[in-house]
Amino acid sequence: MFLKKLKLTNFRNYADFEQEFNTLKTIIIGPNAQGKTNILEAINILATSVSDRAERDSNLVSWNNEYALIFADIQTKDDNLNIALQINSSGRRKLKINGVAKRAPQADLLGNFFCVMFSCEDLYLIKGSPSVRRSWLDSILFQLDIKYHKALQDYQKSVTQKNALLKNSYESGMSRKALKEQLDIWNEQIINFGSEILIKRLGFIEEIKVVAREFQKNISKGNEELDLIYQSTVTGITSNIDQMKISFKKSLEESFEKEIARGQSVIGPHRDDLTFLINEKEAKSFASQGQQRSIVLALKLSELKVIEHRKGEIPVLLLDDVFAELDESRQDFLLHNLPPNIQTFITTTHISDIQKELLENAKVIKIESGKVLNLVG
Amino acid sequence: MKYTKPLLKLIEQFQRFPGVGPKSAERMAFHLINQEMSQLEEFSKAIIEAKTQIKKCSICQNLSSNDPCEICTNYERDKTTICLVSESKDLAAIDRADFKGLYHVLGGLISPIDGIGPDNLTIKELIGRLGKDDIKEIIVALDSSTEGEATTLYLHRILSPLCNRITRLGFGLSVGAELEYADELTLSRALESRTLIS
Ligand SMILES: Nc1ncnc2c1ncn2[C@@H]1O[C@H](COP(=O)(O)OP(=O)(O)OP(=O)(O)O)[C@@H](O)[C@H]1O
Ligand SMILES: [Mg+2]
Ligand SMILES: [Zn+2]
Repeated sequence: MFLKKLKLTNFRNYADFEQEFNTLKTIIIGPNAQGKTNILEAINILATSVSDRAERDSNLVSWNNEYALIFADIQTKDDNLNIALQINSSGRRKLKINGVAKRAPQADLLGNFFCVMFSCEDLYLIKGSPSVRRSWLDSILFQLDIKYHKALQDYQKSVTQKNALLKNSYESGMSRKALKEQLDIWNEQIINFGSEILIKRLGFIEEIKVVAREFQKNISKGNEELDLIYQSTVTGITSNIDQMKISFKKSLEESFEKEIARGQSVIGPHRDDLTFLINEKEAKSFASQGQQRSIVLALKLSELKVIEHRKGEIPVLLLDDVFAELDESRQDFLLHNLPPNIQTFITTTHISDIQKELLENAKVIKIESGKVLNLVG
Repeated sequence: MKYTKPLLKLIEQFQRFPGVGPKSAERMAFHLINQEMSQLEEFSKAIIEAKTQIKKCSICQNLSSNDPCEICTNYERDKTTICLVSESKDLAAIDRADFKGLYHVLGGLISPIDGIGPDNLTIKELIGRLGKDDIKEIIVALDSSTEGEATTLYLHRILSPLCNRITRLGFGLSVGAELEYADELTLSRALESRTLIS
């Protein structure tokens, strides 16, 4: 995939940004807080529909404005793709793809454009909270599988309703029988959507695990065996959907009293986690700073491979300030394991953080306070 | 700058309307206070009149100016089939799709987050009707949202001892679709292809 043109209107600190890209590499340079990441964020939204930085859509709209626009011209393997996304501060969105208005701006955006974002925050993948790892899985699965987004949305709605019910029942002193009857109707949907989510997550992990293991082995010169294990709150997860539903139901039944006591839904993919093992030891507790960086690097390269494999398109790579975090050998490893014709956007505060090799044939954009200063190269 | 209290109160009133955000609420409030007093009196009269003159049919719970309503008293309608809808506007949509049976308006969907449980719906009234009339089929025609789905499941469990044939709308309605926006053709196909709830 190749992003040929990006236009932003009232997006974050850009009143009006317009750039055409015709080199494989684009370096975005500028001091802190000038808007470098904001550009990558806009590109990433086109692929994942979400931003991991914005708590809500209104944060993406320039202050005191009603809506933001992201407009992109993209070259896919055998076609042109044009995306126009309007994000209203009210939270509503509008989407046009190739000029055609879409009915479901969130879901219909997915599956058109693909990218992999690698930023400093990804280093929290290993030691951060489980929600960081779940969001990582979700952002990739949104791109890979359109149905995943819908299932997750419906799942989350059902969990929210169930939590409200548990809370209301406590306050209103509802009878056990009435509560059970009403919990059942939400649990049934939680089981259906939740099992679909679990199956898709497991399938993805099986796939990326193989690739990541190979990368990790190579970064560590054969010393490190990486493993990924999906830790579910559901006991007895399997790759068979009917079996999964049975396991899910059983786990919910076993936790019935616990959920009532906590007033919260505690079983299901919204509470699951992912464990990384290096030579059979949990990376969360044992991996050094350097090992953590290697794992994340291996995961990101694998993410690229899996998307490319499943979608038949090379995703666009967004590198947000990562070179300051990677030593020379890891930088080398990253560069030498990328597909040759991948489009890459790189942000940095200091051009000196970036290897000479990367600067060759790169377009450099200087950013200051949401404006492009001048173009070099 | 903060708005003066009476203005804030008015804006808040509008914000309670379905689908109205803070910005539109502001616009509506400003529009109102710029009107002539006589016009505002007419407006508030219309609201009160609507509220006092529109009744609820004591049988099907539909909004109507007569009690019982035109549908419940119409001898030509099929009294053995009853279609459950969440709101009067859904009833109107299904009636346009040429359904000839009776209706029952539930008055919402189960949604704990909005404080709506089964007791807030007109389920008791429905069960009362089932005892009296000879109902052969109940069609549950609710939105295919998570709330619609949950309500459908609940109704099925409560009603299955009382009726042998409980169905739901068939395919043709897209997932997550709201009934009131479906066109007549789609709705009449969905009615024709209705399936037993299992
Ligand atoms: N909704 C918004 N409206 C206007 N400005 C915003 C909005 N959201 C963020 N900003 C501004 O954008 C700037 C941050 O941009 P960004 O995160 O892209 O910085 P950066 O150049 O990547 O900095 P760093 O080098 O520190 O990562 C801040 O100045 C912030 O005030
Ligand atoms: Mg940044
Ligand atoms: Zn009636």
